[in-house]
Amino acid sequence: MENDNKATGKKINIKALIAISVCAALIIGVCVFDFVQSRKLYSCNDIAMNTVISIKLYGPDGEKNSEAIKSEIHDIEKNLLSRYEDGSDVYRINSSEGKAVSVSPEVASIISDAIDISSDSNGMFDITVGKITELWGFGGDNPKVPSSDEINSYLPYVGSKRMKLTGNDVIPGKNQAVDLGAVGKGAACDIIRTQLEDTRTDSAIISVGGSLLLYGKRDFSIGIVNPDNDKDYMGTLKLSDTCVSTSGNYEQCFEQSGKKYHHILNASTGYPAESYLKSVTVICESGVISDALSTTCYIMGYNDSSLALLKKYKAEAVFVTNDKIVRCTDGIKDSFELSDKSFKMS
Amino acid sequence: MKKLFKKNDLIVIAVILAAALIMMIPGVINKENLTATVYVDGNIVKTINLEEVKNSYTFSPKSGTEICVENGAVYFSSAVCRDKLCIHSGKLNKNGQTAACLPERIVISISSGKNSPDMLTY
Repeated sequence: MENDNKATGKKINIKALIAISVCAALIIGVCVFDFVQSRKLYSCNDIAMNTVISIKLYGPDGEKNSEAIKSEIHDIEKNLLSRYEDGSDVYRINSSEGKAVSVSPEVASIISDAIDISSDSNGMFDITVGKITELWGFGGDNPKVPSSDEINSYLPYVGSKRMKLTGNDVIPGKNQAVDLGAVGKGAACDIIRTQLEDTRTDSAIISVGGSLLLYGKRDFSIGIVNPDNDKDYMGTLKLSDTCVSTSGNYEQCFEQSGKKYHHILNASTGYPAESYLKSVTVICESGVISDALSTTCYIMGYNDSSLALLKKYKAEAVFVTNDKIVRCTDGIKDSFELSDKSFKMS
Repeated sequence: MKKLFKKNDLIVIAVILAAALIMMIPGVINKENLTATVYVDGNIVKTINLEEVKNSYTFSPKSGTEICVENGAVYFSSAVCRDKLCIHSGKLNKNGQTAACLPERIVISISSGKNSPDMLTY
C-alpha cells in the first residue's frame, strides 16, 4: 500500500513536471516570438516631396508597410500639397482666381491650423506668402534676391485673414498663392501616423525631409543636426510617440554679393527672418503644429512670445542661438544631451 | 521529501534563462557595422560594409553619377545634376547620415547598430 502511494506520487510529480515544462516552453516561445517580431527592423529610403524620406519600422510586415507609406507620401505630394502638380489641392487653390475650391479634409485641417498660427504670430508666419517665396526661388536652380519693388508689389496681399476657409472650401484672397512648404512635411507625418495605426507595427521612426514622426512607445534617440555642419549632430533627444521638426538657417540657402540668404521668410517683411538663431527644434504631438511652430519660433526668435506660443500648443523646443548657446524649454531639458562641446547650454 | 529538480536540471535551466536574458539586451541582436546603403528610385542597389573596405573604389549607380567608397566613409564624387548639392554633402561616416541627389533620385544612407541617434532632425 505504502509502495503504491509512493509510485502514484512519483507519477504525479513526473506528470506535473512535464505539464509545467510544456506550459513554460509555450509561454517562452510566444514571448520570444512576440519579442523578436516587435524588434524586427525594416528600413528604407526614398525621394518624395523634393526631399529624402527615411523609414524605420519595428514589427511584422515591415516591407509591405513601408511600401504603403512611400506610396502614401507620393500621393500626399501629388494630390494634396504640390504647388506644381496639376490637380493637387494647393495647385487648384493657387489657380482658382478667387473662386471657392473644395479641398480634402486633410488640407482644410492643415490650412485651419496654419491660419491659427499666423494669427498667433501677428502674421510673421503665413502660408499665403507663396508669391514672394516664388520671387526668391529657394530650392530651385536660380535662387536670387528679389528687388524691393518686386517684394512690395506682393507684400500687401499676404495675410491669411484675406483667405476664407469654410468647411472644406477655400477662397484665396486677391494676388495670393498658398505655400504649404512650412507645414507639409509635418502634415505628412500626421497622415502616416493614422496609416500606421491600421497595421501591426510596434513602433516606427519616419523622417520626411528631417521632420520626424516617432510612432509607438519605443524610446528613440534623435540627433539635432549641427547648424554649422549639417552632416553631424550637436545634441540628442530621447523621445517617443511624438513629432519633431527643425527649422534652421543652413537649409536651402544661397549667397549673393557675399551675403548668405536662408529660406525662412518673415511673411510680414517678405525677407529672410533675422532672429539671432541658427535653428529651432520643436517637439509636439501634431506634425503640422511642430512644423509650423519651428518656422514661427525661428522667425520670432527666442523670447517670451515664442515661449508663450509653445506653451499654448503644449510644445517643447530646443533653440540654438548664433553664438552657439542652446536653450531648452523646461519640459524637454531632461531629455536633451549635448554632444558637441563647442555649443554651450544656457 | 524528494526535490522536484536535480542539480543538473537547475544548471540547464539557469543556462537557458541566462541565454534568454543576454538576447534581450538591446544591441546584441542587431549588432552590425557601419553600413552604407545606396538607393535608386527607392530601391536598394548596393549595400556596403564600410569597415571592411580596404581599398577605395568608385561605382556608378546610375549613368553620370559616381559614388566613392573608402574605409569608413562614402560620398558622391561625380554627378550630372546642375546644383551638385549631393557632392557638396561631403563624406558620410556616421550612423543616421544621408546624402541625396534629388534630380537623379539617388540616396545614400548610413546605418549602424552602435550607440548613435536613430535619426537626425534638420
